Amino acid sequence: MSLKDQSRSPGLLSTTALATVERAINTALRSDPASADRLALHAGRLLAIEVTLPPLAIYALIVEDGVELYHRSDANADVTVKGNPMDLAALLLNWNTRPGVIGGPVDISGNRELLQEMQQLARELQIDWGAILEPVTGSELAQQLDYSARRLFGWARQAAGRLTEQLADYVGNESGLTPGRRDVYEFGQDVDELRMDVDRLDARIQRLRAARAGVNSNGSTTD
Amino acid sequence: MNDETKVTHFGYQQVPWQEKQQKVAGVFRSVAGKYDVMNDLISMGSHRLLKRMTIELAGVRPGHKVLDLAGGTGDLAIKFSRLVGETGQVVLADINDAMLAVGRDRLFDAGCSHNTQVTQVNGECLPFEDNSFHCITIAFGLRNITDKDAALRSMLRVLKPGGRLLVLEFSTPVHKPLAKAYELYSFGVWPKLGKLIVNDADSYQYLAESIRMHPDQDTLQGMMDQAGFARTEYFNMLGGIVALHRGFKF
Repeated sequence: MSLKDQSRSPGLLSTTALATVERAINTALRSDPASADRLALHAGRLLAIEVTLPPLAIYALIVEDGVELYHRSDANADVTVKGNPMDLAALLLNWNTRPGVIGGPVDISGNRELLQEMQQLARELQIDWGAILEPVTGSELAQQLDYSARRLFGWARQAAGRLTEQLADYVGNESGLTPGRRDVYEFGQDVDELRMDVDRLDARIQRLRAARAGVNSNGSTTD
Repeated sequence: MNDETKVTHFGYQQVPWQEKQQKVAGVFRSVAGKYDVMNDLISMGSHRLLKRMTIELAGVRPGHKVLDLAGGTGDLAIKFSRLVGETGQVVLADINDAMLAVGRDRLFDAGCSHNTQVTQVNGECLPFEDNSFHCITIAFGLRNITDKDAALRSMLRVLKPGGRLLVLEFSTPVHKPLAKAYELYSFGVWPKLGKLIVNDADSYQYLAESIRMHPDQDTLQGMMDQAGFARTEYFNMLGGIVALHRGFKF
């Protein structure tokens, strides 16, 4: 981290937001002891998530009872992923991606196995809403809410998947807003061909210039 | 002037130089058991965020040796213990045995005993070798030290070259309306909460008074410069109610 970065004043709002996310993750983990135990096996590992736009870094330190999130860290991360927010979310949350909508380049450096394990954990995390809500609502209502929440989240996940597919179809095929992979490939080929043509033409002009300069100099000596 | 005739402040009172330490000890013995609860109440939970920011600016990484001075109930020490990992070490130090007892139990409960030490020390004359620590933090503790200049010099001595000191402390609000509201809140509410929760209004009256007697941001930065710290700077938090000062040893 640069000296300039280190001198930046810490922001209370962003710290609050990060603390809230950390609390949400740890609450979810506490309601799924199996996932928490699997995560605890990696205690001490550090994941860095670097968002390109807006520029933002989040460091996740795995600890025995969950995760701790920070905006900055001087430690070397075990694995670093870098990309735009949508692509990072797609990678980390295993969204069902479609070409042309989500799934752009994400830079990954470091321990890829650790990242895969974290992805799997996120996918398999079973939040026990009943256990979270029971102290507040009592067991009966908590069970009902748990059942409703699972249905709601199941529906939401399916709806998000369908929406992504439909969006991909619309953007890619119907609206013509984004080109298909074949179009992009052919466009690239055309650009390459044009570049080579320009190079050849440039070489020809240089050769002709040189020839003309030679003729002129010969002419001047004979005069 | 020798130590026997010197006086210093204990809140708004003037007390003999040697007595402040005992009086402060009395305050913290009285509140140790409910210290964290009271902190949450009077700061409305914001002290946790401020400590988070401190940790982020500490630049601590695996293998580092960290001194959490006046660390009390171990909030920072627990976080640092996780950051320094198996190869690092954290020393939780406080002058007050009652606070340390709470801190030691919390470190143990958090599974941090493998890389932490708990030590009763006087911040004015730290019993550590020169150049021992990569980072020293003192959160809401410097205000209670009688000889702050001596404490800062002592911290500089035990820091490794390149190491940094972070002082998180109440300071001076930068906006007048905020300062007025804060004054009403701290003098009006804190002693009442103290009476209600720990049956001790005086300790929280002292807290409010001691904050007013503490050097403001620029003065403390000057004291750090004077002690020999380099690249000193401070970050105002909550409009200057709290400030985080940082300095390096080169």
